[in-house]
Amino acid sequence: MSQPKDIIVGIDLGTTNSLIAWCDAAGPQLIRDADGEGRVPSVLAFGPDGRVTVGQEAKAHAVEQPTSTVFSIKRLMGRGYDELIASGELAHLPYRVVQRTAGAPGRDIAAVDVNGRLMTPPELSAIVLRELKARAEAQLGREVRKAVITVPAYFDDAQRQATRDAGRIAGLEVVRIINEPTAAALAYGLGIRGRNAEPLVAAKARLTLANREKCTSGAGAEGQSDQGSAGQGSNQTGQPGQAGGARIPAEGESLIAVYDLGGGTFDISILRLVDGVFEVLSTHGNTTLGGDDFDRELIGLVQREVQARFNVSIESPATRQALRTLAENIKVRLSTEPTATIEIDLGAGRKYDRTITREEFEAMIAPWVERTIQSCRQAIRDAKIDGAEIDQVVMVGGSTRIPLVRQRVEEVFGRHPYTALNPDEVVALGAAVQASILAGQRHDALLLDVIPLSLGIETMGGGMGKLILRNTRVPCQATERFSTFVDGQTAVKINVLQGERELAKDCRSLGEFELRGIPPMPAGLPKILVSFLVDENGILNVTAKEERSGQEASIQVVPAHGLTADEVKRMELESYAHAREDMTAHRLIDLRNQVTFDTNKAEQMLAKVGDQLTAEEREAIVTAMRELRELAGTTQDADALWEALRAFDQRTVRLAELAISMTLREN
Amino acid sequence: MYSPLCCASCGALNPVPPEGLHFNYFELFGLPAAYDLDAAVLHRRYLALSRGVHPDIHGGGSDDQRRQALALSAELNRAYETLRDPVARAEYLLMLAGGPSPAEDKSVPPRLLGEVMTLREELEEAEGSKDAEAMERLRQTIATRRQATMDEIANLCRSTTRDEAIRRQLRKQLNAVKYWNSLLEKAQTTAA
Repeated sequence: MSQPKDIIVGIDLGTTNSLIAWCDAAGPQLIRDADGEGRVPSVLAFGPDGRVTVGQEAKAHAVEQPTSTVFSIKRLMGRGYDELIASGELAHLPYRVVQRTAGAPGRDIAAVDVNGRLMTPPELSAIVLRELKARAEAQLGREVRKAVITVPAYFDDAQRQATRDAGRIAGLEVVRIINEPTAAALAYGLGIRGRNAEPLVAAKARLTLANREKCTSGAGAEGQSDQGSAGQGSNQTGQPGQAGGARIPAEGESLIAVYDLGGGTFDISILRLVDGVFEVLSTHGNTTLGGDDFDRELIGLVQREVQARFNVSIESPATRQALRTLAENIKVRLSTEPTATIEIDLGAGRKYDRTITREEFEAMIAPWVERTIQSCRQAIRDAKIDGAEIDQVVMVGGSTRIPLVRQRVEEVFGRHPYTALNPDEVVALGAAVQASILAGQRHDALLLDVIPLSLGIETMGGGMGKLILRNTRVPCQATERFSTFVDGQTAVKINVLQGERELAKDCRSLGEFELRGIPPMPAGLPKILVSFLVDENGILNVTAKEERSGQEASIQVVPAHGLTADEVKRMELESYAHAREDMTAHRLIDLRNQVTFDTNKAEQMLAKVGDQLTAEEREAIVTAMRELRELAGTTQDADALWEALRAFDQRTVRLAELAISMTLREN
Repeated sequence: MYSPLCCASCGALNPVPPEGLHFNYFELFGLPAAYDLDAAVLHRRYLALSRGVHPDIHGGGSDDQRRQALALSAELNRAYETLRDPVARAEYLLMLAGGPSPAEDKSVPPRLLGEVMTLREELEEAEGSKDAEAMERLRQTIATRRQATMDEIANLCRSTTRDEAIRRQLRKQLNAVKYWNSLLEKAQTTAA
């Protein structure tokens, strides 16, 4: 094997920060800026001229332009607007999230309103990816077209698809999606061995060693020695742990737990390491739990106290953005100091001055931390092991710097967590290692991962019929037979679900799969064999065949919360062509769709809760609605339409509040 | 070792027949078709076979090769998960011996349903009154009853499976263990 033509990079697309790494003869390394910083804040700032800035610069703009600065996009990936509303997620975001209606009947897709242009989470993430790609290209002096991108292990199919779509829109071929804890284990694990592994320093030394082994070995001979070692392993049946892995010295197996608490997501994975094979035994987590939630606790505290003491409401997007930065700083300081002080000048001689102790902060975040501990217990049970058998606990993600987190993890696993590598960087490094495996540069390591959530179909009566159970190794496949209910029926619809609950409505719908092209036959006679194949990325592929005729049935997929292949292709072209130019035409189309959606929604809300408004209020809304619709039908001025839409939305705030509290009561 | 999945000398993947893959799982791992097996050997052979067929190893191959790797590793994983889990392994042995399948015979041993229902009620009661001690006691009782069923399954699998009466017995016990599994799961999650 010669030097591969295309370099494959490893990308950690994080809630708070993103990183890009690659592998050369010296092992995995990060692309860093002039100051040695590898982290690029996952923040986008959209200027009024349509210009986008990414990273540190965008973060600096957040307070000045709170509604056009977008962050924590990862928490929106692959999720619908309705479910984001239901989970209360949107209340914390100063920018505007709406339901994307264009070309999406029956689908629930969230989009961010960026100065009047609707952008889906994959499109926004793609901008971050483009920035990373550009940085890597500038530094490596060559084009980057392929990438391994990491996702939380607990990401479901829709969230994985959204991540892959983001890569495509950014002009990257996503050769593999890997799980963040698994990537971290890969970065660490090439050093960790056996039950009597030495602590921190030794791990670093071993990691370097493993890397050196990789680059000096002749790639041409590796394929053969692998075959040889596989044969050998099966003959040495009496000596456990001796099979395979000619380059890594044979040692016993070890069990490791990776606890990954990032800005917005939490994962726990339990892996067995034996001879370079990283076998995931179980995984659990929460894709909307992370450092963001700790910040929100602090923000809430300050808002409540300022309200109580000065009767001042600090809820505007700009102050919320400023509070976010403040909360983040306080949180970081409390990891090393016993107290931290907040001072806010509210003007007119009013000063909010408050010292927060670490104990106080810990009490606020304890319920969140406890939820991660519950997940750890579930993962241990699912791995069918005893917690005491775990040899190493690895900490990943910035939030694992919090002393309470470390303490609780230590208690539940009964051992001191392992933190030799920078918890912010280890995932990207692991992704780069996996990239080098896929590029054929190393053969000593192999990842065997699992599917985090059960997959199934909606059964008659609204149940969830599980076809593949959670923690099943991937790739995996299940087949199911379907038939028709009506004579001559040529199409069958299947609702594919993911989750652990017993009712379909409590699980996530991945979309409707419509089988078409079934030969017309009497009801019940066709036998359609549908195969659900989950690939190594944890992504579902569905194929179907009519067994009597042997005819392949075509499958039309309508992703419930995601983009279709055509949409992704279009967005890729758009993102390329429209990188900086004016997007008036699209803006107008998007805005008109939004006007239709918002006015229809207002009409529905009026019908539902309008009686709680005065006659004047109702009349004002009806008039505003008519005027807005007229404007949308005639104007070519996108800015004016955007202003009018914003004004209309302002005018219907109270109506929306009434409708929401009504909905809450109904539930 | 002979691998039915790929060529032992060049590593090329064997073609997937159009009618799909139908390996005998025991043959795939080079193990005798018996309930008792050496889990360490099974695991080691699984890893060795994975090194030959996992899609990551064939990442640089053609689309066809990648599809083949995907199909073969999915089948390998299914085979491994089947043999690794004692219940699935017994179920597979029963299938090889000619059944009955769970769809053909849903009967359970006498008194099972009553016993399960009583334990479930006690569990809910203990959960309601947050009685941790009672929950732990119940968990142990359930685990013991499940183990007894598993012992019975092992014994039946070791007897000759050509005897239809024994196969019917085995079917009943395999149906029963599902009740114990779900009860145990419930006991574990409430105890946590």
